[in-house]
Amino acid sequence: MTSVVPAGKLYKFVSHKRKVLSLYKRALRHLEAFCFEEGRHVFAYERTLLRARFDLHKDEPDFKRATQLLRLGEEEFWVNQHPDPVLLPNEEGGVTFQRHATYQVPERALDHWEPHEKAMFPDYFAKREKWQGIRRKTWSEEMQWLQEWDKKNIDNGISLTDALPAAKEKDGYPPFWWRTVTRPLEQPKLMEWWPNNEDSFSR
Amino acid sequence: MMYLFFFGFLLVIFYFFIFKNFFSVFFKFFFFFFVLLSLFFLCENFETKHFFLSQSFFLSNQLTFTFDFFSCFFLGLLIIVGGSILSYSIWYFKEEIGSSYFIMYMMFFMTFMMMLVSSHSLFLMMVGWEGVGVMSYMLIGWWMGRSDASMSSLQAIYYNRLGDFGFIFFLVFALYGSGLLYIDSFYHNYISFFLSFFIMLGIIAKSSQFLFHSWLPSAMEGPTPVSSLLHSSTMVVAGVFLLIRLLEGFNILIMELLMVLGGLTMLFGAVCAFGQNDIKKIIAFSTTSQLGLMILNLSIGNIYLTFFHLCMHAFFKSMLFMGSGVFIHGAQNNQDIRNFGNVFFFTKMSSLGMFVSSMSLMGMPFLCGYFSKDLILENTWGPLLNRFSWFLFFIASTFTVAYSCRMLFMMYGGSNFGVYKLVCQEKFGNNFSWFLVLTFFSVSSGWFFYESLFKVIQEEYLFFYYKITPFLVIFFGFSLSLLVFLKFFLTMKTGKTLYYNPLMHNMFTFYSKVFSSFFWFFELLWVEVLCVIGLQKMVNFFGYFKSFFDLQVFFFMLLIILDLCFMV
Repeated sequence: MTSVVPAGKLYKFVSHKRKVLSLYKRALRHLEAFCFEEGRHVFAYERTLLRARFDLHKDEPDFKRATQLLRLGEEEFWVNQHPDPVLLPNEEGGVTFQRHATYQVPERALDHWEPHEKAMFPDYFAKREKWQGIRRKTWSEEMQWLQEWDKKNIDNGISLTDALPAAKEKDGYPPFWWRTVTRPLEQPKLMEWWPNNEDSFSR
Repeated sequence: MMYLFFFGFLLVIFYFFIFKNFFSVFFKFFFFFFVLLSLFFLCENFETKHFFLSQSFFLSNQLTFTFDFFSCFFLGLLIIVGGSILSYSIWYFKEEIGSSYFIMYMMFFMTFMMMLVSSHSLFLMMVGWEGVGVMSYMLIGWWMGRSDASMSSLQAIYYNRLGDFGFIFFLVFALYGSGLLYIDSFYHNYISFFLSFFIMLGIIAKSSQFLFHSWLPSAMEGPTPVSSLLHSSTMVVAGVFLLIRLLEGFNILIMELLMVLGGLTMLFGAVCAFGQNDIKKIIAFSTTSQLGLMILNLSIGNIYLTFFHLCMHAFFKSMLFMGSGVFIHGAQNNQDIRNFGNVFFFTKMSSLGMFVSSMSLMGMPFLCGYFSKDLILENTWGPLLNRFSWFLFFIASTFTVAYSCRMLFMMYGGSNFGVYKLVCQEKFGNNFSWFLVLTFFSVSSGWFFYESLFKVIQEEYLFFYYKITPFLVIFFGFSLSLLVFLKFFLTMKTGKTLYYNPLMHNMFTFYSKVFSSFFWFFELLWVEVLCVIGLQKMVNFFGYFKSFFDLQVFFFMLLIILDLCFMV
């Protein structure tokens, strides 16, 4: 039973409270799938019992016992999960999950624009040139900075998390800033305001 | 003139580059013209056409097309169904990026399908066979950023490739046996077993029979118009169509194997569909089940009857998919029927389509599915070597009714459920009225084609208790679904209002324009029917045509009138 813990989402960095609440929500959803045929009143009764089971140990003072209870709960959930739970479309396993990834274009596609297209947005491209200059300056130092940060944490006995170090100066550039700044939209929309759109085949 | 058929669709793609702005309008005119042509092809018979090429290569003298009864009828059906679905997909993909690529892919698919259906040479049929497989790959994986969709499209390719392996071996044996690659050059000889065996592999992979079926539910990752055109009406019946062409030279042992396999597929698909909660997967397994029925029927030897059922199945199954597409749009991409409930209020037209198609599928008397299904049930009462397959067929038909009723109950019933309220899709801005053409065909085509073309099928004169078997099937299936889902049946609502509701006014004016006085009369019976205003509007019926800027509805009416002329 070593693989029932959802380890793919940086599980070890998430707080205990979040883990418990996530287990409760998933259990509730699967319970709804099981109680669907019997009726809403049956689901109401069963979810009250489930809530009571969680509330019994909610003020557990010993963190080791709490972790053990969570582990047992995850195992019980895995054994009793519904084979076909009710999933939201954009959820993992849902119908439209990752559908937007089809239309997410990386930012380097702007390098391939024609000069007459770039001339439509002169201020943006001027700013972009400046940003790329800054990126070239900060790139070589970013990896070294992260290694120093980790070494400092290990020396002080702080456990590793996914928290990145803060920027070195006020309004400065944190590590991996370029990735965050140039991330594509979650739900890309067609640019209907683009001039002469009817000429393009991809409309 | 026949070559126009192929170049016609390529011409549409060519015109698309020129008339990009007006493509949708142009397409509607073009489609209507082809619908009229298709009505001619239903009645005429053409002989085999040869391609005359100046260069000679291997098989260059064997590139032939044939436009016999099966080809002509299926081409007309393909254009009607495919054109309706393309017009529907213009609405369905309005907010989608790259919708013009989608229509181009669908056009290519239809071209390949036409090539497959009308080819006399197996070489050209192979081109069409592979082509529809490739287009299926590109269309299932339309949203390629989604890893499930990419995997499903690859899965479809793998299963179809297994079939192509059998197809190629079949070509090899055909060349060895007769030196010709024509579909009518087979007779019973010492290698007919090998011929039949290898083409059987091709057929069961393409038409998703029992052990080669898993690509079809996965193919529901693609958009709804793809499922409607490819995976219910045209691509999956390519295998059945090939078997229809080749059945005269088929080996009896392989036919027996296909009978059992068809029966198993039918039962398997129907039982799986009974347990599904995703609306598209229910209809996918339903398709698997009906394909099993077609294969079973063919293995008995009923060629024209199977072809009749194939065509009727195309009408109502694609209609089911298109109706489900409306619900999916309304529920914001949610496909789980556990989240639907009481959807009738906002989906009157689509619900009409869904009900009619489901009744057709169940075999409700005098709809289109009844004529083919009832004939099949009657014809299988004759002397059979394998009663087990017939028994499977009977049980599976019962489950067909059960899962159809389950789907309808869970969507239209359940006042305590229905987490999502649908966004109304049937409003003035949205125009998907061509899908009602398929509703019309689902109702009338059975009787029309039975009387005009298929009445030559041998009729069985049966004892009373054998004759009522279809009705027993419907009764037992309905009661099976009631046993499990009675509360949904009891909570089905019709969305009636007892007084004039200003919120309904928009819907009322929309329906009144589409269906004019007939529908309006029944919608507001207790409010205005006997008033002077109502009578005035009925008298001014023909004046409504002045306000129809969109000529689609006008052409639809014209099509109905033309069909009635043909019936006379």
